Amino acid sequence: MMRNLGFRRIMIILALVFFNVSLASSIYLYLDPETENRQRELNEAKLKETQMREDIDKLVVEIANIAKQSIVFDTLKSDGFFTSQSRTDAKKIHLDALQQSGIISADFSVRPGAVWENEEANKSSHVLLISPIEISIKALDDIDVFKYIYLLEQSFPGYISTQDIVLSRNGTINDTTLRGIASGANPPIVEANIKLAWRTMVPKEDFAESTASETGPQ
Amino acid sequence: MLSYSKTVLIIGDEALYIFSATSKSTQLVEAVSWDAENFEVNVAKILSKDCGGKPVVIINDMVEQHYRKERVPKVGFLDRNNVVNRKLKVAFPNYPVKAALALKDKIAKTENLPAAYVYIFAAAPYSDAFAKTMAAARLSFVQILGFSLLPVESADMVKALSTKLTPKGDPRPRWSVFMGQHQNGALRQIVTKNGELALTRMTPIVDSDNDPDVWAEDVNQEFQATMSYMSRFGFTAEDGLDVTVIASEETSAILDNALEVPGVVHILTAMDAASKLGFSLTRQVDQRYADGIHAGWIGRKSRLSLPMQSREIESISKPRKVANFFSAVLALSFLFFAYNAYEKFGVLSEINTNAEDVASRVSQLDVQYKKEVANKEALGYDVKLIQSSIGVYEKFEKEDIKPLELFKGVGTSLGRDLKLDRIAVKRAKPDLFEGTASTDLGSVVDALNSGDNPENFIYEATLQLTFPSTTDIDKGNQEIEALKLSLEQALPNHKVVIQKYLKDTQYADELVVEEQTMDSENPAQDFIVSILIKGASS
Repeated sequence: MMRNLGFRRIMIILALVFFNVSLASSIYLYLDPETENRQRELNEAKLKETQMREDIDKLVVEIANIAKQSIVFDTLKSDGFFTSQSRTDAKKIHLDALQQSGIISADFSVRPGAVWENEEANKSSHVLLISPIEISIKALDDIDVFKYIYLLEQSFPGYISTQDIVLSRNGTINDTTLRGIASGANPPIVEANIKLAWRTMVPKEDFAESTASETGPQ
Repeated sequence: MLSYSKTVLIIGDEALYIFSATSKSTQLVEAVSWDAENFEVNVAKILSKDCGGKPVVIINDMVEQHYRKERVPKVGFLDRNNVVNRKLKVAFPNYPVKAALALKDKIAKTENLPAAYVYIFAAAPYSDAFAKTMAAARLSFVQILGFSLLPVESADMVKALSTKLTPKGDPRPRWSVFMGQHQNGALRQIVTKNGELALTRMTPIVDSDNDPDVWAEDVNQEFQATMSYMSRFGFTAEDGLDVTVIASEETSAILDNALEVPGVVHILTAMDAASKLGFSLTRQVDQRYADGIHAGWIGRKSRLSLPMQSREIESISKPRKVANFFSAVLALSFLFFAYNAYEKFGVLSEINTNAEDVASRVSQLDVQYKKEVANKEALGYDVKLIQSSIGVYEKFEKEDIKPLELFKGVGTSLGRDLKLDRIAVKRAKPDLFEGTASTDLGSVVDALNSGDNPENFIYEATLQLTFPSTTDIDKGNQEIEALKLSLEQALPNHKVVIQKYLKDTQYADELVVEEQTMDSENPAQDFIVSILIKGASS
């Protein structure tokens, strides 16, 4: 072979084989995998860049919103939105409202409350504390009932939401009634049955054991 | 025609003539006598060094060449080669170097003989000169492009010269003769008929033109001998004949007078002839030698007209051809990989540049992000708590019933004349926050999505009014309609439906039962009217 082809020709072939193998190796063993890796890293970096931009935009918006939201938050805070519920406080508020509204009589009961998981509250590691309230009222005038409801809404810490109200006029204004009013007997003319839900948002850690289980107001 | 350079080896009877031929010029590099010491080694050195290792074409120009005109019966295309090879072996059984050249002439079918092709069968002996040339070629490691016979390869040169020298418009002669003395002293005559080799002769003549008369006479004698052969091959003066002779300028006039030609005579110097053929002869002093013209013509050919077959040639040229092909493939492959690598490196470089840009931007964004976080923290609020508590509060508000707003709207609409007996407000759909924790949240969500409340009202309020039994029904109903309109105006986002007019036969359910019960006790019962208000979230 060497005698026929010659040293130079064989060396050229060997050199060409060497360069081919070297180039092929550098392409398939280095350049291709490296390009793939670097492309993946670049994609990840681009994704990270996009996420960071979104985060920054979100933060800027949040900061701008916090000024507005803090007013609402401060109001909620001062309204006792983040406080635990107290049956004693509830009764006191009821009695005050009763006195101020001129209601003739009222049965007021606060049923044991429950701790509720809520997706929105969960974001700040809080849970909802909800206590059903049932009130049965007798009044001379429906205005007194409205006033009573208004006072409860204004005075209760947290959020009071109406579930059910039945307001009925069971008596009529006649001579007997008028005489009763004049004598200070205050005959009930209007009756109302009200169901409310008393809601506050409390730290989850305070109710860790009783989450999603029935619990009464403190 | 390929323009790359070649080395043309002309095997003469006295020596090996080595020519270097390019597309533009040809020159005699060396003439090496067969008796020279270390012939093979010296020739190999000349081929590899003086000639630059260029591919070699080997041309036999010895006296002993054998030609036979043979007819080959018309057979199928696939069988023709086999038939020709078989006939070639039969024609020249003792000659290892041989080949067949198909001529344009064809023999038509006759009564006794079938139609046939006409071939020139050529053969050269395995001479000592051939063996030495092949050995030198082997030692030089140069590529052997082929081996052929000079008259066959130069036949088309004769035709080309004849065409160039014949004035435009003149009839082309059927016969052409080319005569030129080679450096070994012999006169080579090539005769073509219709452009194809018809006859060739190589005869010794006086090896000097110092006495032009003697030289011209020798040439003329040989030409006359050739003419007698041509006559035997059917030449007649009517066919037309042109004769090209290579001679020095000094002898051309004498030769012109000496030649007795029944046709046109062209006497050219070697340089002029080469120039007519499109190349030049360099370093040629004696203008009567024609070897250079043949070498130049053959060296410029892209492929030989009659490549001779021989095991000796094959054994040297085939591995080198394979190696060259392999080298070419590897070179192409190298170019492909190099281009591929260049492209991919460019892509990688671009990715790296982009990655650096992105990294730089991410770094800047990180600084900005930390700055914004610091700004946020500087506000002193628990942002998560703010956002989640407001989210919860808004949800409460959305689901909440505003009873005082409802009562206000109802009170305004009733005015002074109408009296409300009863108002019952209840949720149209379960409150998500209502009930105890034991309530199945899933069922609540199902109820919300059940489609029972497509208008998405959150509560329903039922108003009950009493009209005295003496009330004019039509007037009472008009008042109820007016009340409905008034309620709709006072309570936007609410839907008001009159469930029961003063007289309504279609009314059913609870109120009907109550009415019937009351009717049985008091026939003059008041009219009871029922209105339903559906309220959406505020």
